Amino acid sequence: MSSQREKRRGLQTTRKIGELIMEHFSKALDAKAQGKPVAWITVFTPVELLYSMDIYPVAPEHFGAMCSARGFIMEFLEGAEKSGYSQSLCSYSRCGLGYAISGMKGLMPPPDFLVTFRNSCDVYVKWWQSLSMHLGTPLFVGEAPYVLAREDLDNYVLEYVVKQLEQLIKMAEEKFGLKFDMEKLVSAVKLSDKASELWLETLKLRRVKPCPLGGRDSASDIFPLVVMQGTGDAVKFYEELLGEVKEKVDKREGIIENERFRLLFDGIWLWYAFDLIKYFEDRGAVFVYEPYSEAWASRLDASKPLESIARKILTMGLNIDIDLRIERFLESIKEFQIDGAVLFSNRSCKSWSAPQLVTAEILSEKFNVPYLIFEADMADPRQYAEAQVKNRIDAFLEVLGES
Amino acid sequence: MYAGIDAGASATKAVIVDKDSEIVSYSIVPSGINFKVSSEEALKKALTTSDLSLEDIAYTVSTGYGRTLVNAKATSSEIACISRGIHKLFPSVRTIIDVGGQDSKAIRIDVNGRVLDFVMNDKCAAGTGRFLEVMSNILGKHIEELSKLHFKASNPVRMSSTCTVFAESEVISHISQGSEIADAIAGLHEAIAERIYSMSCRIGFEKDVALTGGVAKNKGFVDALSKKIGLIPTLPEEPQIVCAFGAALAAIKRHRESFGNIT
Amino acid sequence: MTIPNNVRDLCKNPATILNQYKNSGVKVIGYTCSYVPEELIISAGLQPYRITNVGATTSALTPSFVCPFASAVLENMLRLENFFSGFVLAHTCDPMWRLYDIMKKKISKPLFLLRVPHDTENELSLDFFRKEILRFKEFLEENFEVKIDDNALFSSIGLCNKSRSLLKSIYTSNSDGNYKISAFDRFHLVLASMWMPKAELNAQVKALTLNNSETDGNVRLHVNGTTVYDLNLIRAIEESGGFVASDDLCTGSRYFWSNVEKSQDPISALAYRYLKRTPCPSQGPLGDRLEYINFMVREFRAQGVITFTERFCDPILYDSVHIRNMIAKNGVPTIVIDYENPALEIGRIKTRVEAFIESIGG
Repeated sequence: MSSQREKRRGLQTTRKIGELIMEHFSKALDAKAQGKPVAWITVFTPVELLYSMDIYPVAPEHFGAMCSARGFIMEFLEGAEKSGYSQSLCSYSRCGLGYAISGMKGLMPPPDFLVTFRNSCDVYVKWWQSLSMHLGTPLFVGEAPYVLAREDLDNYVLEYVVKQLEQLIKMAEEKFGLKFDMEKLVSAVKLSDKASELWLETLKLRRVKPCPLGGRDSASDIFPLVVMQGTGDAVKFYEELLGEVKEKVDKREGIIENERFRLLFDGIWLWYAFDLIKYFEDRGAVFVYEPYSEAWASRLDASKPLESIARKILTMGLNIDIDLRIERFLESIKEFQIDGAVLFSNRSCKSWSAPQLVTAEILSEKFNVPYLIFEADMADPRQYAEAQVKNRIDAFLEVLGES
Repeated sequence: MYAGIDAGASATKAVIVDKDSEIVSYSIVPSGINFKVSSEEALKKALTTSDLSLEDIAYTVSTGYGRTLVNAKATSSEIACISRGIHKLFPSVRTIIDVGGQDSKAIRIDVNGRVLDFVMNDKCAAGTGRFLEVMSNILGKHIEELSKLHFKASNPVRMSSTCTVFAESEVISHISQGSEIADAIAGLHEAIAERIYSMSCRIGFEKDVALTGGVAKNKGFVDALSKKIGLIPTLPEEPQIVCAFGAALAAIKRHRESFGNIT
Repeated sequence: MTIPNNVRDLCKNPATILNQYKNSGVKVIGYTCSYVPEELIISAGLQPYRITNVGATTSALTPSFVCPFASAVLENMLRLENFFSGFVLAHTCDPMWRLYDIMKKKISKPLFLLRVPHDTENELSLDFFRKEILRFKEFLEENFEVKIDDNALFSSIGLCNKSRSLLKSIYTSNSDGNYKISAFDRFHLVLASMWMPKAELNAQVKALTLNNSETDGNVRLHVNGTTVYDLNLIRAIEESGGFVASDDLCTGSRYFWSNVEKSQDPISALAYRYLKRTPCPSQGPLGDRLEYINFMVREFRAQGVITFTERFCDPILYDSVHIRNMIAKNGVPTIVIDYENPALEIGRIKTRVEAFIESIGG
């Protein structure tokens, strides 16, 4: 019994992520050394397009998560704050700005191009503007209007995004002397679609009891779809991952043996506090569904590459109407047999947190799903009151136990 | 003679200077709830100490939280007074960190003592003297003892709460689990130093850096802050009266100006 | 006393006029942002009314770290819902965008979100924004059983242009240094025009006699920020020896500085004016905004820049670093003063304003 408990929870394949991350940055530094353009992107910007034009993408948001998880974010946060950036601003942005101001001598090479599509939040635009102001780097600000209804994926809203993609291509061609190649884009789109397909299939297997893939794994496993989608390496990773998860399902091996509660986690993870996930698991609670994990996968149609990329940009989780988001929540509750929801009110992400209470109310009042909301920050460890949060978790699990 | 009165939220300070800007006497009294009363008391005490009377005072300038309730000819902001005061005492200072009873500030000044930039915290007790007052009560120590005990610490407690109210329970929990009082005190000094440092980062720490305000009398706190900033700040002999001194200097200036064309 | 009493009273309590509208059967459309074309609302025979944070505390429906202004605006919309026939929100910054999500689940009245592109200089954005305004027109026509034709639009454009020109004329009367009206009074008129019927306010502004205000010789300041509905903030400046020589506030010059141009197509003209007007902290290229502030500072000879902002206002907090850097280069001091509830914090706000003005005045 005790030897099983000592066995590391989690998937073997997930351990490869560390290596993939290092390779990713290593390739970025190589590209820089070879004089190829490096682009700093906000996530859900179409890297498939950038790869096809030999522009290497890195995501400061991912960089912030990584710095926070590995314990060296403070230097960059303080650097940004010393330069006048308020502590109340998104911690990813403070990390990125602090890093940019400090000379960028670390893993992320300086950008030749700053590309953002405003879909997750408006802060993207302000953050990228600030970077451009500090570094003098050419900036592309794309707009992905809020999807109010399904028609927006076929009407002038979609057209607007497609035309902006064409502008982006033109700008990249002019600024860097590159040539857009539709064939290369189609290849990248096919690979990206394949990676998404595999990840979605993997996520579906979390419906099984006991759940074979928990929060600690999904937090890392998303990486190839954050900034490597469109590459063969991403597909390879997800193939391996799916294989391992299928094996676990066949052997009826779950993340924890005694699954008392199956939970939904709404929010970005607390990158510096993965022990929180363990805290839940030690008490029999496992995360089986996260909108955050699902958001990275989006099926693409290689016969209409620009159009489907445009739809992907538009439909990233936070950019679709609240009713569509709630619809998915409710579907997932049935699909994954969810007992309760944990909502992380992230001080860094007002776009996500602002409407959370209303969503929670609906979950609870209309669908009898008990929920827990707690406040902290996703990457800034100073904004986390560990004892208080764990107190709340204990109370929540007690409530679940009684219902 | 000229007088400066700093009517702070916790203490009221009065400073008397002569026409050559030399400090003749000063006093510090608790503010209580009536600034009119406390400012009169402070001034009276300072006058008595130097054998002067109210008639000897040609001009008074007031500053601080309760400045408009003091009987003075003019008011001046604390930022300006602290800057003026420090510049007179230590002309090489370019950054001032002031930690008072209920607020804290960081000010950057130029070679002439002119204010370039400033930042204040007057909403949150965690970066002020109040924090230490609350904690010393819990630990059953006088504020004066905090300083001595700080240097006896061998393993300062790491405080995680950023809020005074939560820090209270955290300290109690540490002590009940066996932490040494000295370690708890050193930890508290580190916590308040962290807050002050954070606030002051926006201003930067151009040398020389000076520390003023009542809390600067606490050598334990000064030690913790020095370690955080990475340098030893300039400390006036009596840090709590620098602001009132600056107000007294303003009184000299205003008095001269009001006679400007008449001499 | 230059300002008519009704204007003064209205600014103290902007919600009172809603009673009058209700009693006289006027249908009111609440809107939150100066990107919303009031002309469209007026052409539909409805009264536009700009929702404020006055009289409300923050809503329990939003987390503590979300902009308290947006939260109080939400609270006002919910508690005053019965006075409105509909609401128009604009997607400008994150909290104001998410107010739409929350309102959608909380109210039953017609609700519209105007999607405003962030890159206002991109020609694709203008085309998109034009289509958004058309969608807005359709929304009004469908929900209020009215047909908005070009004539109605031209007429309301003329009315709003007149209103904007009058406000601008009062403002610019100060640029020669001859202060004919205090900033405190000036802002009253600007705010009142967001709540009163335009024709009525236009008449009152025209009839004003401007005499020299007592704020000659004070330290000249440029006020930067988003919305300022509590005019005690302006008064705090003027009582501390300062004078608001210019501003680029959402409830100040940015509301009226430019007019709608003559055009064959009123919808296109509206799209152009509303998208391309004075840059806002939320929309438009940062460089343009910095240039604009620089221009205002030079033009109105400001000696310092005060930024008033709600706590947690992301656009201002990102911008203020660059404003400080840029303006410091020109030797003009700046300060950012943030608050959650200006009415309750006026003491500490005044402390900072005084200290700042004193540091400039010497």
